[in-house]
Amino acid sequence: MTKRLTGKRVLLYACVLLVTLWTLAPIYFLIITSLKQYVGTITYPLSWLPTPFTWNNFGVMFTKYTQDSISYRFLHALMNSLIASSSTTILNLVFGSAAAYVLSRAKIRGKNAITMIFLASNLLPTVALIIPFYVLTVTYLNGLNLYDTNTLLVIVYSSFSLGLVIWIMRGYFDSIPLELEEAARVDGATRMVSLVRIILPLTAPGILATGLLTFLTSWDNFVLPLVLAPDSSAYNLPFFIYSLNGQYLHLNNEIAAGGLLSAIPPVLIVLFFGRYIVSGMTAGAVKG
Amino acid sequence: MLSSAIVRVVERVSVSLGTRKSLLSRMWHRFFSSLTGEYLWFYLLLIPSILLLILVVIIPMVFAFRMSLGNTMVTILGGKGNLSMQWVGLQNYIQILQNPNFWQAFRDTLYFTVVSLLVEVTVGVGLAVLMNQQFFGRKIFRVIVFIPWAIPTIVNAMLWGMVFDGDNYGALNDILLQLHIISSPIVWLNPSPLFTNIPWLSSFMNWMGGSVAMNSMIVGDEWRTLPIVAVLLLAGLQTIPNEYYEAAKVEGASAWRQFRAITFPLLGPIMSIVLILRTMQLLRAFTLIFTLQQYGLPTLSINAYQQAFSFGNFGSGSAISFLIGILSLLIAVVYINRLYKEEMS
Repeated sequence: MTKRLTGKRVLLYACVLLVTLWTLAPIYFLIITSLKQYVGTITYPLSWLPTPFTWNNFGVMFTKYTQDSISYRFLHALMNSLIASSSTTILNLVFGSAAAYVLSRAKIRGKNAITMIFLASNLLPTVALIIPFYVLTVTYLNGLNLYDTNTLLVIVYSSFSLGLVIWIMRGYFDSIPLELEEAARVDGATRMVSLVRIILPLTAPGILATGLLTFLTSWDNFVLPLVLAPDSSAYNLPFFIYSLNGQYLHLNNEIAAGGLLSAIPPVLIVLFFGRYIVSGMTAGAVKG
Repeated sequence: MLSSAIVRVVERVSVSLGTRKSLLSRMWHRFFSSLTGEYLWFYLLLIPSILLLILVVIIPMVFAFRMSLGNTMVTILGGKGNLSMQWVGLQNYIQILQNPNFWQAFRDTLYFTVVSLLVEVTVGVGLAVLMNQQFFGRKIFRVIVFIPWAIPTIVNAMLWGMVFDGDNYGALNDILLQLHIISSPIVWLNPSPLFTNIPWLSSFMNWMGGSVAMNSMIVGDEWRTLPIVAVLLLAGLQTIPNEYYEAAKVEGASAWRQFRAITFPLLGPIMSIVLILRTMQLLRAFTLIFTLQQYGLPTLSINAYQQAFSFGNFGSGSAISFLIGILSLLIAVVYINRLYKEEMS
């Protein structure tokens, strides 16, 4: 019996080790590549240590700031990513939570159908919306000068996450007993007051989860800027990294450095708030 | 006598008119109060989202449908785009459905989606069970496993481009060469056939879209997405009460039997969520494949993108994306119905 158990333990630790290796090896490879000089990325046999070593790949992202230099494009992409992702998050949280609250509480006929339509809109493939968006912005809405702006990206990102926000937040509102709100209103609080003072604090984990999820999704988006903001004024970090991949020369070390820098915010979010995000995503499934 | 009868009739009419009036005014009052007071808040809170939905989803979809029914072209002159949508009816759809390239893209997408999902429900569940075991360093293990999901898709694509590099300085080739598993570097990103020594299997796999490159894409994609699948399933595992397993152990059920009878059925609801999210993401897969293959491995999304933005044929681009949309919605409806049934029971 003990022998079999030890055998099981060995198997268990072997699996753990294997999964750890599978997870970390590519990240390790990315890190050493970002610390190599270009020649180190194309020699054989490949060095699994950062040789010849340099900090320069990270350095070029921040120094020699002139028009169209790498640092210029990187910092602009960073700014654009931050602006677009945070605006999308705020917009989605405000509108989405409000709608989710109504869809959870109001006695409106067809509110389930409305929720389903919102969810379905979230499940639509990106390209299904991107073609009409592009054509509308460059033709009928040309006068609004939306093409290649952060405003356009924020509006379009929102269409991709609003449904999910409403769906998750509705699950959270549903989980709060109606009596709690009624008690507050018996005591004379108006609906708005009870919403802001009682319901919202209770759904704070949900708001955090959906907010971060929206942020991560918009931070990750590549297709929309590829089509709607390919010029310098609004392209984001994913598009910047894509543009580093030249047609003839793959500067893997610079790509790796840019990639690592752009991965820092989402990795930090997942490390610190991963638990909230997971409980948010499962709220719809295990609310019963 | 007559006059009193007239008076009575007049009274009756006026009474009935009066009640009708009061009914009308009551209905009006109800409608009005539903717009104000209590319900006003509801409408005020809901309307912005509905407007956003109409503006950014419904109108573009209707417009896309109109474009798909025309020979649609956009010419940009001096910063101003001109649109021509000559009506051709269903011709775009007919042409697409007759085009072997579309069906290849369809099978490619299907292969990518189905194989990825199979990996996720087997390896993903296994990984979740592993994370749920008691062992030294479990806490840090759970954190490490979750990290790849945070890496942006484009970075993941670039990373796996370096790993799968066809030259001998690609990371995977380097490892395999140094371990003497292979003698010359393999071009992992080439759409070359698998199982070349078994002709019928090889040609079948090629027909299904299961080339070397496609399987490399699946590996690269799974590295980033298996973590979220496993972590979500782990959250599901943790809701299963331990007493169930203890009771099963008392009854003498084997580990596999416990998994079949307790773990798998109770994972159902969370599995449905994971499957919905992942199927939709897989069907729309674009970034990874486009970055590493350009148009070399056209899935449906890439096919639509190419038609519209590379060939300038916005009509058939819209038509393809409409077909993907309908396919996605059909699958979503099936899943969501299943989910609701599970919640009811």
